[in-house]
Amino acid sequence: MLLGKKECLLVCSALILALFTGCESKPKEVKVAKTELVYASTKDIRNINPHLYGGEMSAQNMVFESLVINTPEGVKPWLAERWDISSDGKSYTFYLRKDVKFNDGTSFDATVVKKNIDAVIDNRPRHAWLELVNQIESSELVDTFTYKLTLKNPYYPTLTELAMTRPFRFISPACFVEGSTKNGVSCYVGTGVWRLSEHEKNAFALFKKNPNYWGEKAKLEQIKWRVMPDHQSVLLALQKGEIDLIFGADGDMIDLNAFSVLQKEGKYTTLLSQPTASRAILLNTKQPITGEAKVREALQYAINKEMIVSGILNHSENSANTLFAPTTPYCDVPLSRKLYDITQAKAVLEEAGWKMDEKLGYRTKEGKTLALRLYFNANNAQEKAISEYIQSNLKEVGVELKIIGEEKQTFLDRQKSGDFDLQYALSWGTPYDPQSFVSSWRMAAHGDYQAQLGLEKKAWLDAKIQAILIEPSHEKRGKMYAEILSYIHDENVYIPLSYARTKAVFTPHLKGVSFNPSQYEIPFEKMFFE
Amino acid sequence: MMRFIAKRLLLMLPLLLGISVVSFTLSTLSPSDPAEVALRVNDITPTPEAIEQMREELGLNASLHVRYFSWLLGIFKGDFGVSYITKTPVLHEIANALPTTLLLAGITLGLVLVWGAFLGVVCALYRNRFLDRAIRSVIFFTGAIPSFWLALLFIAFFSLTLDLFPTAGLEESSGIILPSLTLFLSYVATYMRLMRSSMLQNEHAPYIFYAKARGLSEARIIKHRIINALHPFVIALGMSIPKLIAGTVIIETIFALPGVGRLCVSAIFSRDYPMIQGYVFLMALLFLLFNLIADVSVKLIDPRLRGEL
Repeated sequence: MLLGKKECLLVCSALILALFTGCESKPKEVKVAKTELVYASTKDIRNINPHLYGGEMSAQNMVFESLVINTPEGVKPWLAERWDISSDGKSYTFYLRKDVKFNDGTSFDATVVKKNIDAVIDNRPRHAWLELVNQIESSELVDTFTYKLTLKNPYYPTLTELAMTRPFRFISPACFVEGSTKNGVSCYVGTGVWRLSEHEKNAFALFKKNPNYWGEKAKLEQIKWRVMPDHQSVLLALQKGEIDLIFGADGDMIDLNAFSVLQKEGKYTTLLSQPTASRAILLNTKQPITGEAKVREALQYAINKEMIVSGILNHSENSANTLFAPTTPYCDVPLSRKLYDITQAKAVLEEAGWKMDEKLGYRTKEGKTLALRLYFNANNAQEKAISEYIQSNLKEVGVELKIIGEEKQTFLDRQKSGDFDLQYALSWGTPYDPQSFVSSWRMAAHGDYQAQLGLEKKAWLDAKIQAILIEPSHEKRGKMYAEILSYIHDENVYIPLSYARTKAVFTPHLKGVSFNPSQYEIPFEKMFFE
Repeated sequence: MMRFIAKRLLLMLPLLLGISVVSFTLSTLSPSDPAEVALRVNDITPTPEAIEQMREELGLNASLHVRYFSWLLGIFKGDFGVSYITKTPVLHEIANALPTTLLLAGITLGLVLVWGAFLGVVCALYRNRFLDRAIRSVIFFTGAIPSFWLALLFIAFFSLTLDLFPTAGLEESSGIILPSLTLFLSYVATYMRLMRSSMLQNEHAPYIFYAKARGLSEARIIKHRIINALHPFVIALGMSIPKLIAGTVIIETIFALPGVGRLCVSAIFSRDYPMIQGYVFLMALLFLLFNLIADVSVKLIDPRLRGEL
């Protein structure tokens, strides 16, 4: 039978009301001292097997530890109490702590170290990007708490690379699958300050304090890692007090505009790390126009970095005159400063034969317009704004710049193919800079390699990089780094823009927020609520 | 009826085969090398050795037709392959994400069904009067607002200002309300208008004239009008179900819901071909099934169409 209008209205209202019944206000909990920190990340922790690369590095760092750690003062002991290096620089003997246990009760000893390092070596092609893996000759058990690593050459960044977030971290042998980790692990048991207690894919992960931790225990009881893919939602959740911390680098967690708004608002605490990575524009020496040294030089003078830093980056980063910040190891090299000078840029282009065509509004040479293409990652609002500003800079000197935003994978495909004039570039940051980043210049899959292919001394550059990595003398290495950095600087392969910093925004009650040398790690263990 | 359903199910087979060919070959046309992408998305520098090892691991060295047939054979066994990125079975990944999406789609559908039909009927009965104009204005206004913006406005108002709901996530059951409401508002305008125009079309139909002549009560006449107006409504709504399941990515992203839409978009961005292929195939299957369900429902509602079975 047909319902009357009134009944119909009642049924529908009931349906809506039924939905809203879940939202009756709960009795407000009396907050004493919060022991749970809620951290919002745009990404899920995924697979945190420390010997693979499928998981979030900051989550891997919470659970798994290394023999040594990178600190601002250099490499320090961690699971190894101390180490000896043989006189030829090829053998490293590590003396392990005796009081370390995995979360499942397994003792941490040299057998475990060997098993883990062997598991990494067993998957060598996967780790080939990290030169240390290629340099390992043997992995030996000396006694229960002594382990020896022998290298083919005196590879100088050995300790720095052993301290990296992956792959040289230790997982309980009970988690190995068929004696290895390359095909996955059955559990995520480490020796770290935190243990993963719950994980709901793409929703949240819960890390609980390791009560039996060998070192200084965490001050908080648990960390809730909430996955929130949308930046705006993260900000709204922060305002509502549902999350306590936003932490990240290069706009992946919080964009600079939002960061500066929150900074000015003063309701939340904001922190900026020391410069961690370098933001630059890569100039392709293999392409017809950017292959001309004079054009590359002119572009250096044509871009107003100070305006980018003040207008787009809101002074949250410092402008850069060299590819690596002088604070980066081996990078305090005296190099000429190429500052914004539009007259100089025009003069250099004139000298190179690129004459202004007033009718066209751009420069031409032998009937060819000075038109270039700059590619950037379309999902990064910051890169888009910077690219647009560069476009206007170059127009002033008569260069037509087409800016093309591409989806990330397409952008990376282009890097590999070398089909670009200019491309947005970001270095890997400490502790990967300079050695691992420079080492990657020798790999064809990198834009850097492609962009350097037109250089007269590319073969020399690659050989020099290889030589630096295995040069035992610190002084000689310094000189060799100076040589390659000067060459790249003089050839204008990069237009350095700024030195990126990691950003943190958090509720004022949260204390102890700091930064690790690696931008990919978050030191949750030092945090606590007042 | 059973014959009709069996015939339609049989007709679906060649269609599904065609879809499988398209979904498999289209994804292989992408210029990105899946082995390389599988390395890159995991932040591994794709060295030639690593690419070769990954190609071997993913079985990419086999020819296209061999890979297609092995994939198709797998589908018959319920195996859609393994994700390049997470290394877990595609079906398992989709099954994990599906309950959230189904919950969201189910609530939205319920709201659209009830409110779309109800408001459509009310607007038709009060045609061009104040109530009709007011409802239409409000509904079209909210429907015209982009859903991502509406979602953010809702979070700002209902979560931040009124503190009624969580901003995102499903840890509290009330977390589903705002996403459902946002989706509902972007869908309801279409269905309300469909119901209204369908009701109006029926207003002067001969059967109404006959019913009036027979002296039927106004309520009974309206009942017949509603039943007749429901045909296009039900068909359109039926087709909306797979659309709701497949395309709620914006809402899922803003409200941090771990659903199928987000799974698919992240698979597309990371060129996770087995995941994309499995998703396209399953969604196509859903569209076909719901099309069939909608057709069967219309026939069940309308006795005149049963003769065509």
